[in-house]
Amino acid sequence: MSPGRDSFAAGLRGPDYLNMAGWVFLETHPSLTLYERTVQLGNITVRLMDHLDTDKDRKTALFTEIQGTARKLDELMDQVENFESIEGAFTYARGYMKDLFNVQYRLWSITQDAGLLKNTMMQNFAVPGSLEPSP
Amino acid sequence: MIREDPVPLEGTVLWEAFKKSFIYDRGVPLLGLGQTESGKTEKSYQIAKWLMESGETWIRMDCGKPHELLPLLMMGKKIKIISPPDCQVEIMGGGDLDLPEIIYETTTCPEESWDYVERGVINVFSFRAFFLDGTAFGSYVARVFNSLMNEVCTGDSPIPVPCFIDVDEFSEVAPSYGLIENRHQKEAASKIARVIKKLRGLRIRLCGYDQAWTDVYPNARRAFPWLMICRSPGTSGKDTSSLERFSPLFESLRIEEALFVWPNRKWIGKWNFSLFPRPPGVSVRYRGQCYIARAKKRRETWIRETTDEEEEGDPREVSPGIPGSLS
Repeated sequence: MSPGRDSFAAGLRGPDYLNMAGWVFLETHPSLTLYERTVQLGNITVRLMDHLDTDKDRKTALFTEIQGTARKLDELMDQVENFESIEGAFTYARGYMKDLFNVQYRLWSITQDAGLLKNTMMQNFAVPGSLEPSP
Repeated sequence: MIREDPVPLEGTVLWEAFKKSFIYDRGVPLLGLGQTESGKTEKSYQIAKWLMESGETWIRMDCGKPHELLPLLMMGKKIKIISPPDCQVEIMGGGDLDLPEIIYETTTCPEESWDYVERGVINVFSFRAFFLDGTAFGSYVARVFNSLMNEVCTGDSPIPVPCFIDVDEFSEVAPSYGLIENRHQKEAASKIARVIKKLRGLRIRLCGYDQAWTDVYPNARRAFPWLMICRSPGTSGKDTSSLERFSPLFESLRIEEALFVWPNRKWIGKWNFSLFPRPPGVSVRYRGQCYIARAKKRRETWIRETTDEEEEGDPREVSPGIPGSLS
């Protein structure tokens, strides 16, 4: 098990930012690909880092890493059907999953360090007056 | 650090998630909760505007509050007001304003209400103001919803779907046990609860707004996966126990603020709504009355065609009532 995995799971249990991000990632978009979900997770993180005036280079690097991992995951999902056995697919996937857990662990660390619990829950959003045209 | 000013929701992941999971997921019901003066009605206009812009037909069941209809006049859409037999809504004043066209329709029976619904206009079912008695109103609305389900299920429906029905003061339509006054009201609430559960599959969404979770009939409130929380929403009970720990926060919400609680009982941030303007110098008057005719033996009977004898006997009866049996 990746060292990041426990931490990530622990983060998901608390009513904190990562709970929110994890929820968006895991539950809100069942119709989206893993890539799209991960990018959304990244978007939320970067947005929060904006609020915290986090160093721009650090933010960009993290976001790039998230996108890269997401792409790998998406490729993986495309290839799973080509494997002859489920064991083969898991072996192939293990490396990427480790990458993902590492990224998630870093997200968790950043948000925990920042103590975003209350701030994120209490963030104010101004709702749009009109709905933009549907895609 | 975190900015105090609201950040625009548009363009965020959260907004995209909301659109996919609620606005464009046709038929998903929403229950808005909050104490009096917590801004539920104002927010209901905004939600209705989003849904209408997404292509849903809007049917608003008004609760007869003074000036409730006025913000609708500022939305730039034609308005169709549908009222019970011999009952009229009058919108007065505003002659020098560029108000939208208003069409007044009077039905001959509750079932006929749906025949007047039209896509692209704001359809207002203006019933509540004409009923003094909650039982009579509950029965009337139960007939309205029953006929909706019958018409849609049989494929004869004139209602353009997807559509949403916007009901303010939802406990007037489906009151909880504590608010039910008699068995007739309970039967009506039970009928409505059954209909609500089937509407989603028919791509008809119900958006109800009320003061407390426990004010709404249990079978009906459990059909609402989405919640909009305004100030002091009264979210007690096992169905909403996961939200109870946020009660101090809920009580501190300002009138323009609300929280959207996803079906998994998670929520993100406070959403700030804008108030809708009212046209100056315009007022609304409701003329007429529906009633439960009381027989001389002091037992209640259902609304029915008024006889001459009843008209003489009850000075309140200024309309001929609603034809047909409710039983």
